Amino acid sequence: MSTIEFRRRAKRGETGAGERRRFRPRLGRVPRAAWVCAAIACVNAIAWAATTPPYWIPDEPASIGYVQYVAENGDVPRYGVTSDLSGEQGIVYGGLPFGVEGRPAWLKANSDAMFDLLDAGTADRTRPGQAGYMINYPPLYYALDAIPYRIGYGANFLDRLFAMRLLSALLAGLTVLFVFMFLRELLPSTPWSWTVGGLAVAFQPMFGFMSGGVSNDTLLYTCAAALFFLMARAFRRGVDLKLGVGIGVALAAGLLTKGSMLALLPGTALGLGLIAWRAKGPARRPALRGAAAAAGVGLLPYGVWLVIGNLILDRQASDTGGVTSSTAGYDLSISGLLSYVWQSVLPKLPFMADQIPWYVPWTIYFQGFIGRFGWAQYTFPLTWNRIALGLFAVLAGLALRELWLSRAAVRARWPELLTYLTMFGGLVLVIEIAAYRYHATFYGQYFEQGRYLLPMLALYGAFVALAARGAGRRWGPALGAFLIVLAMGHSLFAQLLTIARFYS
Amino acid sequence: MRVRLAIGLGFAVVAVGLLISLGRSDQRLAGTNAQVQVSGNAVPVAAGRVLCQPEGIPADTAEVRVYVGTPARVAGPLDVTFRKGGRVLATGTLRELRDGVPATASMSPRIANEVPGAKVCFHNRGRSRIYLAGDRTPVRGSGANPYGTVFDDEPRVDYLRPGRESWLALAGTIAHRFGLEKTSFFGPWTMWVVFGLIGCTWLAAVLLLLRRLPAR
Repeated sequence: MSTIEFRRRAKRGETGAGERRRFRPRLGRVPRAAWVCAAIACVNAIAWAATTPPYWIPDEPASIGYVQYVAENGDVPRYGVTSDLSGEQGIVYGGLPFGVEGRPAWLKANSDAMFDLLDAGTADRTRPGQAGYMINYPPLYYALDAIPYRIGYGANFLDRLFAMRLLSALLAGLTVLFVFMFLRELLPSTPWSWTVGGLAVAFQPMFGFMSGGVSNDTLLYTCAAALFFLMARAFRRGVDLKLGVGIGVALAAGLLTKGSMLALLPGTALGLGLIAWRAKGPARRPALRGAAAAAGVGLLPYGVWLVIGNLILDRQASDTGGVTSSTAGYDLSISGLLSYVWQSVLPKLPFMADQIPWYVPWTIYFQGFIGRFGWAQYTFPLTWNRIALGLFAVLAGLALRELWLSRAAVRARWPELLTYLTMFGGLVLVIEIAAYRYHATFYGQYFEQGRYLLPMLALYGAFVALAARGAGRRWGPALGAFLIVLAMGHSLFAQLLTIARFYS
Repeated sequence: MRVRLAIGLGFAVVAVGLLISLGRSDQRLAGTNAQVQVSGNAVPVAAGRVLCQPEGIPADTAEVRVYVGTPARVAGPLDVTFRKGGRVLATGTLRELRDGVPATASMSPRIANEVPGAKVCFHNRGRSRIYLAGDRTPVRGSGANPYGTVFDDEPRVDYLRPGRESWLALAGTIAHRFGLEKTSFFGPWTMWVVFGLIGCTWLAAVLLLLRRLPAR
């Protein structure tokens, strides 16, 4: 019996409970292509984990410190201590030696000396300040990463570090799985486009690079992709208690990972509200129940964490949320904020002070998305970025064409589109607000990075899938295949760029 | 058929890019002590003075490059010596040093194998003070050094391999470097395994595309 036939019969009330039970697992089954895309993302991230030297993923030393503190003490790090490295971290820091703009030494003697020191086992493994400036973040990712650390407890520190990186690689696979499932809900009539979108994300170089390191961003990507998938499912099939709980779990996990997840709350709330509003008659009550479950399950753990952080762990709620920095200054103003946010996306108006010397969407977000690796420190040549811009412009044209051709469906699904746009806009707004605070505090330094947009990977997958569909029924699959091979090449060149940066 | 052609075309584009990139020849680093791209600090070497610093000399060093500043129109000469345990391993001389222009000296004899625990000494035989760019302090106020911290720099020394080489010619050396300082079980083989893994992802992706995408 086909899905359509089953639905028709279910509508007429001709399906029995047993039949429904048998059918449900089939509906929820994950396509094999999704697993393959996920495996590709995971293996690709493992390749990145082996390629990038220790500490050269943004914020990795402090992130490793946080994990090591949790794994060694079974507790979260506390405020009020000076930033420090554990003895093991310090050996690696000095032995590489590490510098944001540097590269590891290529001397065998250097490497051997560092391993001898680590193998001696005399260096301490934990110090109160080893989480450094990452202390603001909630502990979920670090607690999860403490598992591989503990599994490899007897091994060398650098071996444990590699094990920690492998968890991020696993999360990359999970992220792509959710992106694939999101596309399945979003574009149900063209299964081939799910594969195209899933693979485009799996080979995205910044995603691969970040997924090869110890960073809470990786779990944030997973939670955001899961949220997109579940929201799309809610729009497609209606939200019930089970789905509401699922949305809540994705939200809660994201919030307990990084404060950036707060940026997706308005869009999620809007989406759930619209679903409940559009549900008619008897469908409205389950929808409201589902939305309430999402809110409760999503926000309660985070609230508990904030209270515990405040009362027991001496963390201010604003710091604990990871929304602000404990080092943020107070030279802030609403007019300054509005001017900064305006200039981050639009040309400066005559009465505004010139706060940003470049065009953020191009210099930061686009070039950063194509690839700005290390500590936002090396990138593809400008010519490559210009070629990529040209390609993306063509893809945007094709995606718009597809939306125009499907305008009837787009019109019918406006709440869903509005929800995704609000989630995207919310993230950009939160990044820019944080960027303004950082800029005002750190004497004109800039905060934005392309990688901060990666929680929107599901939308990137949708963009590529739509663009391929926009090429029409005849040429769409061929364009999709061509784009994926280009994405594979892009990923390889990014890895070669990294190899050239650190080893040549 | 169209999908197969598109995949083939995609691979052709990638292959051309690879050939162009990997085949490009240039003089390559044997090693460097630099932890910066552009230095935010300089180390002075007064006229007639000798400045020595501990260094590991990398294998295949044929030349050294330093980054020079000087108040004079032309400064130098500046002798560069590699020493170990009182023994001179190699010498070279930098002549006609100009402000802001990197200077390169050929070292004789060439260092074939890595020499840990050595010293690099600079002897300013000229009449004006020379400033050598430091190895640790990034440009003050830059993203890498927002607070303008000044570290205890030593002169930056780039060790250069002889002649010009393509990336492909350098692959074995890169593989050796790739295996250092990561895990206790990595070695020169690791880079090739990484490329193998990438190859596996490519194969899986192409098979998936061929199976899942409508052929026409």
